[in-house]
Amino acid sequence: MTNNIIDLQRILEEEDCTKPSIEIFKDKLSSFKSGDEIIIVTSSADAWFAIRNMGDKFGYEVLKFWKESSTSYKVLIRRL
Amino acid sequence: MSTKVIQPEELRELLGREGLKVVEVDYDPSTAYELGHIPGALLIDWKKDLNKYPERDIIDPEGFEKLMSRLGISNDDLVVLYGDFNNWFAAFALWVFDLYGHENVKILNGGRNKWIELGYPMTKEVPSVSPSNYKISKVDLTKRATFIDVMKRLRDPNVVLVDVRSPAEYKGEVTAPPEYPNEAAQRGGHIPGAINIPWAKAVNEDGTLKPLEDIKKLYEELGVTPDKDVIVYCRIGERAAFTYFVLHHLLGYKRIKVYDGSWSEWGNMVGAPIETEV
Repeated sequence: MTNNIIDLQRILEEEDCTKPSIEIFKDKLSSFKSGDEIIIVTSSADAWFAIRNMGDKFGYEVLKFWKESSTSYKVLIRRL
Repeated sequence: MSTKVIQPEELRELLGREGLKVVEVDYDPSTAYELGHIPGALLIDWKKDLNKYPERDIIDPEGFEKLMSRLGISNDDLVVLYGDFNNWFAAFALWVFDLYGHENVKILNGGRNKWIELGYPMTKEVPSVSPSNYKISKVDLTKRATFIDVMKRLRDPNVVLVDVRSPAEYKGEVTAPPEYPNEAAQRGGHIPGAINIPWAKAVNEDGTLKPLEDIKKLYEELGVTPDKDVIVYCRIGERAAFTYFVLHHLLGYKRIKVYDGSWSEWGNMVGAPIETEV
Protein backbone atom coordinates (compact mmCIF):
# COMPACT_ATOMS: atom_id res chain seq x y z
CA MET A 1 0.00 0.00 0.00
CA THR A 2 1.06 3.58 -0.61
CA ASN A 3 3.20 5.67 1.71
CA ASN A 4 1.34 8.83 0.75
CA ILE A 5 -0.76 9.83 3.74
CA ILE A 6 -2.87 12.88 4.51
CA ASP A 7 -3.56 12.68 8.23
CA LEU A 8 -6.22 15.31 8.76
CA GLN A 9 -6.49 14.79 12.49
CA ARG A 10 -2.76 15.28 13.06
CA ILE A 11 -2.74 18.42 10.93
CA LEU A 12 -5.70 19.87 12.82
CA GLU A 13 -4.09 19.17 16.18
CA GLU A 14 -0.66 20.49 15.24
CA GLU A 15 -1.94 23.68 13.71
CA ASP A 16 -4.64 24.35 16.36
CA CYS A 17 -6.80 25.76 13.62
CA THR A 18 -10.50 25.96 12.93
CA LYS A 19 -9.99 25.19 9.27
CA PRO A 20 -12.42 22.50 8.11
CA SER A 21 -11.00 19.05 7.41
CA ILE A 22 -12.30 19.17 3.85
CA GLU A 23 -10.45 22.42 3.12
CA ILE A 24 -7.23 20.92 4.44
CA PHE A 25 -7.83 17.83 2.34
CA LYS A 26 -8.35 19.91 -0.83
CA ASP A 27 -5.16 21.89 -0.19
CA LYS A 28 -3.07 18.79 0.39
CA LEU A 29 -4.58 16.90 -2.54
CA SER A 30 -3.38 19.50 -5.00
CA SER A 31 0.25 18.57 -4.29
CA PHE A 32 -0.20 15.04 -5.68
CA LYS A 33 0.05 14.07 -9.33
CA SER A 34 -2.06 11.82 -11.53
CA GLY A 35 -1.73 8.17 -10.60
CA ASP A 36 -0.61 8.83 -7.02
CA GLU A 37 -2.36 6.75 -4.41
CA ILE A 38 -3.02 8.44 -1.09
CA ILE A 39 -4.47 7.31 2.22
CA ILE A 40 -6.61 9.92 3.97
CA VAL A 41 -6.93 9.58 7.74
CA THR A 42 -9.61 11.42 9.69
CA SER A 43 -11.30 11.16 13.05
CA SER A 44 -14.51 12.62 11.62
CA ALA A 45 -17.15 10.29 10.21
CA ASP A 46 -18.63 13.29 8.41
CA ALA A 47 -15.34 14.13 6.66
CA TRP A 48 -14.89 10.43 5.83
CA PHE A 49 -18.29 10.39 4.16
CA ALA A 50 -17.56 13.59 2.23
CA ILE A 51 -14.17 12.40 0.94
CA ARG A 52 -15.76 9.17 -0.26
CA ASN A 53 -18.25 11.17 -2.31
CA MET A 54 -16.24 14.04 -3.77
CA GLY A 55 -13.98 12.17 -6.19
CA ASP A 56 -15.73 13.38 -9.36
CA LYS A 57 -15.50 16.97 -8.23
CA PHE A 58 -11.87 16.96 -7.16
CA GLY A 59 -10.36 14.46 -9.58
CA TYR A 60 -9.74 11.20 -7.77
CA GLU A 61 -11.22 7.75 -7.51
CA VAL A 62 -11.96 5.96 -4.28
CA LEU A 63 -10.22 2.58 -4.15
CA LYS A 64 -11.09 1.54 -0.65
CA PHE A 65 -12.51 2.93 2.57
CA TRP A 66 -12.66 1.50 6.05
CA LYS A 67 -13.21 2.33 9.70
CA GLU A 68 -10.47 1.37 12.14
CA SER A 69 -12.21 2.62 15.26
CA SER A 70 -14.86 5.15 16.24
CA THR A 71 -12.21 7.85 15.95
CA SER A 72 -10.16 6.65 13.01
CA TYR A 73 -11.52 6.49 9.49
CA LYS A 74 -9.49 5.91 6.32
CA VAL A 75 -9.99 6.28 2.58
CA LEU A 76 -7.55 5.09 -0.10
CA ILE A 77 -7.81 7.20 -3.25
CA ARG A 78 -6.01 7.48 -6.60
CA ARG A 79 -5.46 10.87 -8.20
CA LEU A 80 -6.85 10.99 -11.77
CA MET B 1 -31.00 14.76 28.68
CA SER B 2 -33.11 17.78 27.73
CA THR B 3 -36.32 17.48 25.76
CA LYS B 4 -34.57 19.70 23.21
CA VAL B 5 -32.20 16.88 22.28
CA ILE B 6 -33.16 13.90 20.18
CA GLN B 7 -30.94 10.82 19.95
CA PRO B 8 -30.09 9.40 16.50
CA GLU B 9 -31.80 6.08 17.19
CA GLU B 10 -34.96 7.89 18.29
CA LEU B 11 -34.99 10.01 15.15
CA ARG B 12 -34.44 7.00 12.94
CA GLU B 13 -37.61 5.46 14.38
CA LEU B 14 -39.59 8.66 13.80
CA LEU B 15 -38.52 9.33 10.20
CA GLY B 16 -41.47 9.82 7.88
CA ARG B 17 -43.90 10.59 10.68
CA GLU B 18 -46.45 13.31 9.95
CA GLY B 19 -45.70 16.60 11.65
CA LEU B 20 -41.96 15.91 11.79
CA LYS B 21 -39.61 18.05 9.71
CA VAL B 22 -35.94 17.15 9.70
CA VAL B 23 -33.74 20.02 8.58
CA GLU B 24 -30.03 19.94 7.83
CA VAL B 25 -28.38 23.30 8.49
CA ASP B 26 -25.07 23.61 6.68
CA TYR B 27 -22.36 26.18 6.37
CA ASP B 28 -21.26 24.45 3.19
CA PRO B 29 -23.96 22.27 1.60
CA SER B 30 -21.58 21.29 -1.22
CA THR B 31 -19.53 19.17 1.19
CA ALA B 32 -22.49 18.00 3.26
CA TYR B 33 -26.19 18.00 2.26
CA GLU B 34 -25.48 17.69 -1.45
CA LEU B 35 -23.32 14.61 -0.91
CA GLY B 36 -25.95 12.92 1.22
CA HIS B 37 -28.38 13.66 4.03
CA ILE B 38 -30.91 11.99 6.30
CA PRO B 39 -33.80 10.69 4.16
CA GLY B 40 -36.49 13.34 3.90
CA ALA B 41 -34.31 16.10 5.33
CA LEU B 42 -34.76 19.64 4.08
CA LEU B 43 -31.87 22.08 3.72
CA ILE B 44 -31.19 25.40 5.36
CA ASP B 45 -28.11 26.98 3.83
CA TRP B 46 -26.85 29.08 6.75
CA LYS B 47 -25.24 31.78 4.63
CA LYS B 48 -28.10 32.23 2.18
CA ASP B 49 -31.13 31.41 4.27
CA LEU B 50 -30.50 32.64 7.81
CA ASN B 51 -28.59 35.80 7.00
CA LYS B 52 -30.00 38.96 5.58
CA TYR B 53 -28.24 40.66 2.69
CA PRO B 54 -26.70 43.05 1.94
CA GLU B 55 -26.57 44.17 5.56
CA ARG B 56 -25.08 41.85 8.14
CA ASP B 57 -27.95 40.59 10.24
CA ILE B 58 -30.06 37.55 10.85
CA ILE B 59 -33.21 37.27 8.78
CA ASP B 60 -36.11 39.39 10.02
CA PRO B 61 -39.47 37.91 11.09
CA GLU B 62 -40.86 38.20 7.56
CA GLY B 63 -37.79 36.45 6.21
CA PHE B 64 -38.23 33.66 8.75
CA GLU B 65 -41.88 33.24 7.79
CA LYS B 66 -40.92 33.03 4.12
CA LEU B 67 -38.19 30.49 4.84
CA MET B 68 -40.46 28.27 6.92
CA SER B 69 -43.23 28.53 4.33
CA ARG B 70 -40.85 27.64 1.48
CA LEU B 71 -39.69 24.58 3.42
CA GLY B 72 -43.29 23.54 4.09
CA ILE B 73 -42.86 23.86 7.86
CA SER B 74 -46.03 24.59 9.81
CA ASN B 75 -46.21 26.37 13.15
CA ASP B 76 -46.99 23.20 15.07
CA ASP B 77 -44.47 20.92 13.33
CA LEU B 78 -41.72 19.30 15.34
CA VAL B 79 -38.50 20.46 13.71
CA VAL B 80 -35.31 18.46 14.21
CA LEU B 81 -32.16 20.35 13.31
CA TYR B 82 -28.76 18.88 12.61
CA GLY B 83 -25.86 19.81 10.40
CA ASP B 84 -22.23 20.05 9.43
CA PHE B 85 -19.46 21.53 11.57
CA ASN B 86 -20.44 19.75 14.77
CA ASN B 87 -23.98 21.13 14.72
CA TRP B 88 -22.75 24.72 15.16
CA PHE B 89 -24.99 26.11 12.45
CA ALA B 90 -27.90 23.90 13.51
CA ALA B 91 -27.56 25.46 16.96
CA PHE B 92 -27.50 28.92 15.38
CA ALA B 93 -30.71 28.03 13.56
CA LEU B 94 -32.25 26.82 16.80
CA TRP B 95 -31.40 30.16 18.41
CA VAL B 96 -33.20 31.92 15.54
CA PHE B 97 -36.17 29.57 16.05
CA ASP B 98 -36.12 30.65 19.71
CA LEU B 99 -36.10 34.34 18.77
CA TYR B 100 -39.08 33.82 16.50
CA GLY B 101 -41.06 31.69 18.90
CA HIS B 102 -41.00 28.22 17.32
CA GLU B 103 -40.76 26.13 20.48
CA ASN B 104 -41.23 22.65 19.06
CA VAL B 105 -37.66 22.23 17.90
CA LYS B 106 -34.88 19.82 18.81
CA ILE B 107 -31.22 19.21 18.01
CA LEU B 108 -30.00 15.82 16.81
CA ASN B 109 -27.32 14.73 19.27
CA GLY B 110 -24.01 14.49 17.44
CA GLY B 111 -25.30 15.92 14.16
CA ARG B 112 -24.23 14.52 10.79
CA ASN B 113 -21.09 13.05 12.26
CA LYS B 114 -22.83 10.73 14.72
CA TRP B 115 -25.53 9.74 12.22
CA ILE B 116 -22.87 8.69 9.71
CA GLU B 117 -20.75 7.01 12.37
CA LEU B 118 -23.72 4.85 13.31
CA GLY B 119 -24.11 3.82 9.68
CA TYR B 120 -27.66 5.16 9.49
CA PRO B 121 -29.19 5.79 6.05
CA MET B 122 -28.20 8.71 3.88
CA THR B 123 -29.62 9.79 0.54
CA LYS B 124 -29.03 12.39 -2.17
CA GLU B 125 -32.74 12.58 -2.91
CA VAL B 126 -34.15 16.05 -2.25
CA PRO B 127 -37.69 15.82 -0.90
CA SER B 128 -40.51 17.58 -2.71
CA VAL B 129 -42.19 20.22 -0.58
CA SER B 130 -45.69 21.66 -0.40
CA PRO B 131 -45.26 25.23 0.81
CA SER B 132 -46.96 26.15 4.06
CA ASN B 133 -48.30 29.45 5.34
CA TYR B 134 -46.11 29.96 8.39
CA LYS B 135 -46.94 32.88 10.68
CA ILE B 136 -44.86 34.07 13.60
CA SER B 137 -46.93 34.70 16.72
CA LYS B 138 -44.18 36.07 18.95
CA VAL B 139 -40.73 37.55 18.69
CA ASP B 140 -38.33 37.48 21.64
CA LEU B 141 -35.07 39.30 21.09
CA THR B 142 -34.05 39.14 24.76
CA LYS B 143 -31.73 36.27 23.88
CA ARG B 144 -29.66 38.47 21.60
CA ALA B 145 -26.92 40.94 22.61
CA THR B 146 -25.67 43.75 20.41
CA PHE B 147 -22.29 45.50 20.47
CA ILE B 148 -23.85 48.31 22.51
CA ASP B 149 -25.34 45.85 25.00
CA VAL B 150 -21.92 44.32 25.58
CA MET B 151 -20.13 47.69 25.81
CA LYS B 152 -22.60 48.93 28.41
CA ARG B 153 -22.03 45.93 30.62
CA LEU B 154 -18.26 45.58 30.46
CA ARG B 155 -16.83 44.79 33.92
CA ASP B 156 -20.32 44.54 35.39
CA PRO B 157 -19.97 41.97 38.21
CA ASN B 158 -23.42 40.61 37.44
CA VAL B 159 -22.42 39.76 33.88
CA VAL B 160 -20.18 36.95 32.74
CA LEU B 161 -18.85 37.09 29.21
CA VAL B 162 -17.95 33.70 27.78
CA ASP B 163 -15.60 33.49 24.81
CA VAL B 164 -16.17 30.04 23.33
CA ARG B 165 -13.40 30.18 20.70
CA SER B 166 -10.16 28.24 20.85
CA PRO B 167 -7.46 29.39 23.31
CA ALA B 168 -5.34 30.60 20.36
CA GLU B 169 -8.16 32.85 19.16
CA TYR B 170 -8.82 34.07 22.70
CA LYS B 171 -5.16 35.00 23.16
CA GLY B 172 -5.08 36.81 19.86
CA GLU B 173 -2.67 34.42 18.16
CA VAL B 174 -5.29 33.58 15.54
CA THR B 175 -7.87 35.96 14.12
CA ALA B 176 -9.55 34.01 11.33
CA PRO B 177 -8.38 31.33 8.91
CA PRO B 178 -7.50 32.70 5.46
CA GLU B 179 -10.24 30.64 3.80
CA TYR B 180 -12.84 32.75 5.63
CA PRO B 181 -11.80 36.24 4.52
CA ASN B 182 -15.12 37.81 5.47
CA GLU B 183 -14.69 36.64 9.06
CA ALA B 184 -11.36 38.37 9.56
CA ALA B 185 -10.67 40.85 12.33
CA GLN B 186 -8.09 43.60 12.31
CA ARG B 187 -7.20 42.90 15.92
CA GLY B 188 -6.73 39.71 17.89
CA GLY B 189 -7.62 39.06 21.50
CA HIS B 190 -10.82 39.01 23.49
CA ILE B 191 -13.39 41.29 25.06
CA PRO B 192 -12.08 42.62 28.39
CA GLY B 193 -13.13 40.42 31.28
CA ALA B 194 -14.28 37.53 29.09
CA ILE B 195 -13.41 34.04 30.22
CA ASN B 196 -12.43 31.35 27.72
CA ILE B 197 -14.47 28.15 27.72
CA PRO B 198 -14.20 26.62 24.25
CA TRP B 199 -17.53 25.26 22.97
CA ALA B 200 -15.98 21.81 22.52
CA LYS B 201 -15.61 21.32 26.28
CA ALA B 202 -19.28 20.34 26.34
CA VAL B 203 -19.00 17.50 23.84
CA ASN B 204 -17.40 14.11 23.49
CA GLU B 205 -14.95 13.26 20.72
CA ASP B 206 -17.79 12.05 18.49
CA GLY B 207 -19.64 15.36 18.85
CA THR B 208 -22.35 14.07 21.19
CA LEU B 209 -23.09 16.00 24.35
CA LYS B 210 -21.33 15.09 27.58
CA PRO B 211 -23.41 14.08 30.61
CA LEU B 212 -25.32 17.02 32.10
CA GLU B 213 -23.55 16.78 35.47
CA ASP B 214 -20.17 17.12 33.77
CA ILE B 215 -21.32 20.11 31.76
CA LYS B 216 -22.87 21.79 34.80
CA LYS B 217 -19.67 21.33 36.79
CA LEU B 218 -17.55 22.69 33.95
CA TYR B 219 -19.40 25.99 33.74
CA GLU B 220 -20.13 26.49 37.42
CA GLU B 221 -16.52 25.92 38.43
CA LEU B 222 -15.51 28.72 36.11
CA GLY B 223 -18.09 31.13 37.48
CA VAL B 224 -20.73 30.77 34.80
CA THR B 225 -23.72 30.42 37.08
CA PRO B 226 -27.44 30.88 36.39
CA ASP B 227 -27.75 33.81 38.82
CA LYS B 228 -25.68 35.98 36.45
CA ASP B 229 -26.39 37.48 33.06
CA VAL B 230 -24.41 35.39 30.62
CA ILE B 231 -23.31 36.63 27.21
CA VAL B 232 -21.64 34.18 24.84
CA TYR B 233 -19.64 35.03 21.75
CA CYS B 234 -17.21 33.51 19.25
CA ARG B 235 -16.19 34.74 15.77
CA ILE B 236 -19.46 34.93 13.84
CA GLY B 237 -21.91 33.57 16.39
CA GLU B 238 -22.28 29.94 15.42
CA ARG B 239 -20.12 28.38 18.12
CA ALA B 240 -21.63 30.81 20.63
CA ALA B 241 -25.07 29.57 19.60
CA PHE B 242 -23.94 26.04 20.40
CA THR B 243 -22.92 27.09 23.92
CA TYR B 244 -26.18 29.05 24.22
CA PHE B 245 -28.00 25.80 23.43
CA VAL B 246 -26.03 23.98 26.12
CA LEU B 247 -26.50 26.62 28.82
CA HIS B 248 -30.09 27.57 28.05
CA HIS B 249 -31.70 24.36 26.88
CA LEU B 250 -29.64 21.75 28.72
CA LEU B 251 -28.77 23.51 31.96
CA GLY B 252 -31.79 25.82 32.10
CA TYR B 253 -30.01 29.18 32.28
CA LYS B 254 -32.63 31.87 31.71
CA ARG B 255 -30.43 34.97 31.64
CA ILE B 256 -28.37 34.24 28.57
CA LYS B 257 -27.74 36.07 25.33
CA VAL B 258 -25.80 35.40 22.15
CA TYR B 259 -23.62 38.25 20.95
CA ASP B 260 -23.75 37.20 17.30
CA GLY B 261 -21.69 40.16 16.10
CA SER B 262 -18.93 38.38 18.02
CA TRP B 263 -15.24 38.84 17.26
CA SER B 264 -15.77 39.69 13.59
CA GLU B 265 -17.55 42.80 14.85
CA TRP B 266 -15.70 43.57 18.09
CA GLY B 267 -12.25 42.95 16.62
CA ASN B 268 -12.89 45.43 13.84
CA MET B 269 -14.76 48.12 15.75
CA VAL B 270 -12.97 51.43 16.20
CA GLY B 271 -12.46 52.15 19.87
CA ALA B 272 -13.54 48.75 21.17
CA PRO B 273 -11.28 47.76 24.10
CA ILE B 274 -9.40 44.51 23.73
CA GLU B 275 -7.44 42.25 26.05
CA THR B 276 -4.82 39.77 24.92
CA GLU B 277 -3.42 38.52 28.22
CA VAL B 278 -4.90 35.42 29.78
